[in-house]
Amino acid sequence: MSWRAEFLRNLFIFIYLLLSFTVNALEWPVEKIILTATFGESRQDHFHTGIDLGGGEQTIFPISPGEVVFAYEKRSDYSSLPVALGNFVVLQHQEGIRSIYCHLKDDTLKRSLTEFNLQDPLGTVGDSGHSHGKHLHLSLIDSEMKTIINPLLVLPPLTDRQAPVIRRLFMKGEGDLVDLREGDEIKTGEVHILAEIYDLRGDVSFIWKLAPYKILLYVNGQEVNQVSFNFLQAEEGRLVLSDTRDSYRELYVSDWIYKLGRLDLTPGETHMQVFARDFAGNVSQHEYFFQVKN
Amino acid sequence: MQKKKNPGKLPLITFLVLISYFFLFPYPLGTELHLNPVWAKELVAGDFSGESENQPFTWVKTGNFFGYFNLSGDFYYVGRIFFDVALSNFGFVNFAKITENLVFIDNKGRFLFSFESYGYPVLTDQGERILTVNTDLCGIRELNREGELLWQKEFPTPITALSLKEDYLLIGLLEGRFELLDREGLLEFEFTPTGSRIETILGVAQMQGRLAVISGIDRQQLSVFEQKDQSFAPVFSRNLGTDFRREVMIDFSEDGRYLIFEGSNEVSVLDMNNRSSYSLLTSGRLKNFSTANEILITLSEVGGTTIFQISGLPNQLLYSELISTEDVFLRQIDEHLFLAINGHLVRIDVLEG
Repeated sequence: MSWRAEFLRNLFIFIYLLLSFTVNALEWPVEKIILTATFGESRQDHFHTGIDLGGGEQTIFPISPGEVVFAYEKRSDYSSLPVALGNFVVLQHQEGIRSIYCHLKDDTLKRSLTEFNLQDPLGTVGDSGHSHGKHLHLSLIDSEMKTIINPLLVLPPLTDRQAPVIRRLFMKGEGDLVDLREGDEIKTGEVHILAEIYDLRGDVSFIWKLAPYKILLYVNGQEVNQVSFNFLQAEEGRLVLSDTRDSYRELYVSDWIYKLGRLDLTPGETHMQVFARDFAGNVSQHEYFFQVKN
Repeated sequence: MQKKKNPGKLPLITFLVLISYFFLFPYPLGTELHLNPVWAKELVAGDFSGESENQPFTWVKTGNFFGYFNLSGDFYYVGRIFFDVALSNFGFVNFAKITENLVFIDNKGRFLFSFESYGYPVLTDQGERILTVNTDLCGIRELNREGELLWQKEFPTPITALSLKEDYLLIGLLEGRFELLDREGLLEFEFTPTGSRIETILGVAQMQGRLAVISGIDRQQLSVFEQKDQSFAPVFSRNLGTDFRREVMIDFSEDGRYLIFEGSNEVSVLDMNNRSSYSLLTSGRLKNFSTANEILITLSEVGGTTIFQISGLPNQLLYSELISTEDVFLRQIDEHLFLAINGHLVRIDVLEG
C-alpha cells in the first residue's frame, strides 16, 4: 500500500471514529481520572494496547451505552487460557466499537445486566490478573476495521501542562551506541538514531513515565520520521503502528528508548531536531548541530 | 381312536421359543456401573518419592494446591500455587502474578530449566510445547526450552479461547474469527462464522482433522469443520439457542466420536457419526467434564454445591451425587477417576458389569 493510500486509510479511520463518537460522546469510565500508563508504551515484549487509570477502588462505568459481548471472572468462569487481564468485561458500542475493562476487583463484575447505560456500574477497579496495583486497564477495539484505538483519541481531553522529556539522543553506526552531543564530529555512513523520550505525570512529585503521543525527527529541516500512537493494526501476524508500520521490535530498544530512523550521513554540518508531543499538545524540542566528516 | 390333544404343549412350545429368542437375540438392558473407591489421600505440600514409578501418573490442581501422583496414590510432588500453575506430564511452571522468568520444574519437584519471559505459560499435556500468552491476550508465542522464540503471532483483539494439541493450535478471537496454526505458527485455516448479530468466538475444540467452534451472540451457533484435502470445510452448523457471553466449555470425547459442549443447565452431545444431538441435564452450571471409554463425567455447580454425574455416552444418566463444596477437581485416566474435594484426593474406579 502506498503512503498516500495509507494516509487516506488512517484519515478515514480517524474521521469515522470521530463521527461515531460525536453522535454519542464518550465518558471517562471512572470519576477520578489518574492516567498511569498510555497507549503504545513498551510492555517488555509488546505494545501496551490501552490506557491505565489509577485512583484506587472506584466504580467503573461504561464509556458509552453498550452490550456485553464477553466477560471473565476468575472464581466463576471457565477459561482455556491463563487470563492476565484478570476479571474483565467487553462491551459492544455502536459501529462495531468494543471497550474492554480489565483487572476488576473480585466478585464485583455486574453479571445481571447485558445492556449497560452510562450510569450502570460495571464493577470496581481492582488488581486481578497481571497488575502491579489497583488500576483499570481500558482498551478500545474497532472490530470492523480490525484496529486497536488509542482511547485518548476519543475520550474527553485531559488537562496536562507537563511537556514530554527528550532525555538523550543516541547514534548507532557500525560500532557501539554513542551519546549524541552538540558539536560532535561524526563519521559518514549509515547510522540509526535512537532517543530516550518519555512524558511525565503531572500530578505526582516523583518521576512516573508515560509514552508521548508523537515523536518527530527532522534532519536539515526535512521530516525523516514521525511516530504516532494512534492505532495498532495486525500486519503479517504482528501488531504495528498504523502510521509507520513499526512493530514493537522495530520501535523499541528498551522501555523508553525508541528507534527513530536510519540516516545516511554525508559530509557537512548536520542539523537534527527531535520533537515530542503529548496528548494535551505540550511539545518538547531538542536540536543538535554536528559535523559529519569522512 | 382319536388322538387326544395335549393342552400343555402349546404354552410349553411358546415358552421355549421365547427363551430361545432371548438367547439368540439378546437385548442390552443398559450399562450397570460399579463405583469402586480405591484410596483417599490428603494433599499436603512437600516432595515425595512415588514408589511405583512405572505406573501412569497425572496431576491434580485444586484450591491452592497442585501435585503429581500415580495410580496407587503415591505422590511425587505437592506444591502451593503462587498465582497460577501450568501443568504437563513433563513438568510444571508455577508462576507469579507478575512474571519475568518462567521456571520449569519436573513432576518430582526438581529444577529443569528457566528463561526470561513476560507472558503467562500454556503447556501441552506432554509438555513438548511451551507457549506464552501476552498479558493483554493479544498475542501468543512459542518458545523452546532455551527460551528462544520459535514464532509469535499478534492480533488486533484479545484471544477468547484456545485449544492446544501437539500439532495444532486453534485460537478463537474476540473479533469473531478463529485461526488454526500449525507447529511452526503458520496459518493453516481461518474462518469467521457469520449470521449472528454480534460476532465473537466463545469456544473452540479440535481433534484429528475436526474443528468445532461456538460463536456469536443473538444466534449463538455451533460450527463443525472437517479437513478435506488440504483445507477445512464446514460440515455442520446449528443454532444453539443459548446466550452465553463468556467462554463456553467444548471438547471432543477421547475417541473423537462425540462433541461435548456446555448448554444452559445441560451438556449437549453431538454424535459425529450420524450428527444426532443429545442433551444431559446438569441442574447447574457446568464446571468440568471428562470422557473415557464412552463414559462422560460431569461436574456442575448449584449454589455452592457440586453435582457429580456419570453418564454413558451419548445421554444415559447412570449416577448422580451431590457434593457439598463447589471446589472439586476432576481428572480421568481410562476407568480411573480422580476427584479432589476439600484438600483430599480420591481415586474411584468406574467398572462396568
